[in-house]
Amino acid sequence: MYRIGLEAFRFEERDAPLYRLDPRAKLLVAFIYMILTILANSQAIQLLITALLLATLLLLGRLGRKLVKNLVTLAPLMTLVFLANYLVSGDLMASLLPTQKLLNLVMSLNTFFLTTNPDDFAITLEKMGMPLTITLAFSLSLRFIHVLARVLTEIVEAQLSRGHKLDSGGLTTRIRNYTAILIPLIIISVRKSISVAETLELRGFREGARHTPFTTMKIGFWDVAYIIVSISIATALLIYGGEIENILLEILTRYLEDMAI
Amino acid sequence: MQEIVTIENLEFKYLGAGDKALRGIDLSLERGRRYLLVGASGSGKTTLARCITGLIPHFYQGEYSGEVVVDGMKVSETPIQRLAEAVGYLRQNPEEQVLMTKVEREIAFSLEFRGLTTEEMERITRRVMENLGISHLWGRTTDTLSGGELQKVVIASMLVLEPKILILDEPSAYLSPMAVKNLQGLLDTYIPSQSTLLVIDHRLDYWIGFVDTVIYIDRGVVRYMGSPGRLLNLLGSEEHRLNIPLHIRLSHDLKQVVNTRGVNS
Repeated sequence: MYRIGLEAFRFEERDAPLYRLDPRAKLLVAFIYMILTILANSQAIQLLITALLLATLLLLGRLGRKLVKNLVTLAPLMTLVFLANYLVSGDLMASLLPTQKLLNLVMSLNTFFLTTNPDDFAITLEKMGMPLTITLAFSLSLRFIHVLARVLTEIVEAQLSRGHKLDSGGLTTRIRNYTAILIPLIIISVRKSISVAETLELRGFREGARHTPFTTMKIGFWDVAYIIVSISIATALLIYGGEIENILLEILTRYLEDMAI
Repeated sequence: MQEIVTIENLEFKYLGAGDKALRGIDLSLERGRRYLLVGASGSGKTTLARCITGLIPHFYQGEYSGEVVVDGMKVSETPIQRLAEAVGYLRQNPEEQVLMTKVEREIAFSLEFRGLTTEEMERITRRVMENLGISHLWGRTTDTLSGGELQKVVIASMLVLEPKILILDEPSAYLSPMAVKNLQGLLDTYIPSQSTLLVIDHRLDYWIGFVDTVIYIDRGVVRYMGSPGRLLNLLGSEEHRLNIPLHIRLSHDLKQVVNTRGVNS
């Protein structure tokens, strides 16, 4: 379970169309979906965005199982957002909207992060003008997710085998129990980061050095098609959102009436 | 023989440490020879390696005195990045030295800062991978590799720069005896004969037949530097903290018996 949390956000190589697209195209489309999610204040439109993102991730990314893990990990946060909104507003439907937005924002980012190699992500950022130190920090953080996931599992297993109880007692006791996991994890992470810094120095990396990436990137036909289709859908949803919502509501009402008959 | 590393009166104390990690080290390593640096845990083996690579004094701070010269460069005055062209350093855990996700990018990483074109980088990377017999790993992600494969990838990532001295720090720590044998075979075959090899390991039995010279370091002081066979003298002459292989200990004891009682007894 501890491992699933981190593994759910880790990149895994796969042979699927979304993986083959240029990272810049995927990043742009992810941003388009994010902006759309933030701007749309209708549950029906949010539902449409969810459907589009699901189709992208499942059909183009073949990420079914990974997506389930991802959503299981996010479920507590989404529940928390929903409950907090419900407690404040007392309106069930109004509380649903922020939860939908959170889900769509995460899925938008997933179309990029779950399908883009951290090395390519670093090159993308570098091409966008970011300094190499920052792009490397990003890609190394992503690369070390699985290393930390493994370390976390090892620490949990070691503490459990010593008779340490994690999930017993009240809230404060539980929090105290988890310090036995967190402190070694922080120490090991710091040690590993020193080791990575050492390696960077030993491999000739230096700030401000001229850098020629080993991998070159090229925007191709499918990248352009992916961007155009996504922009078209986003524009249509923004312009005709009201009409689409009405049509959807009409269909839903008719369906419910038919069911009632 | 020409010297590749010269160390004179080297002393180092880590920032905040009570004792000096290295005390009055004087030694030189020659081109094309193989050295084994042995000593108990905390004896200063890794600190000495850090002094050769330039991590000390540039990365780890502390009280540093004496002089280390690597391939004609004064370590204290040369940036690590420049020294990296002469020294390849493989540490205990290969996983912590992997920076990239894809194997070929990992191997080519050092080349990305040398002003080479993409084609040149690819040519060098392919050649080194072919030499080490890991061409089939091209395109694989580094987190799917086995321990042995990962170690080869890390070695390849050092070899692309054609270092003049290769330092392997505790390479047997994560390997089975058979994997150590394989690693030695790999080093025998693919490390250029003019390159110097410095192996740091406390497992004397694994490496004693593989190296030309053994350097024994104890509490920051070099106690012995010479042929592996003459390490035996250490047994009788002083208290040591070394795990001497059984066959060497037996041979030493037999010699002692022969010397004291004569052949007939």
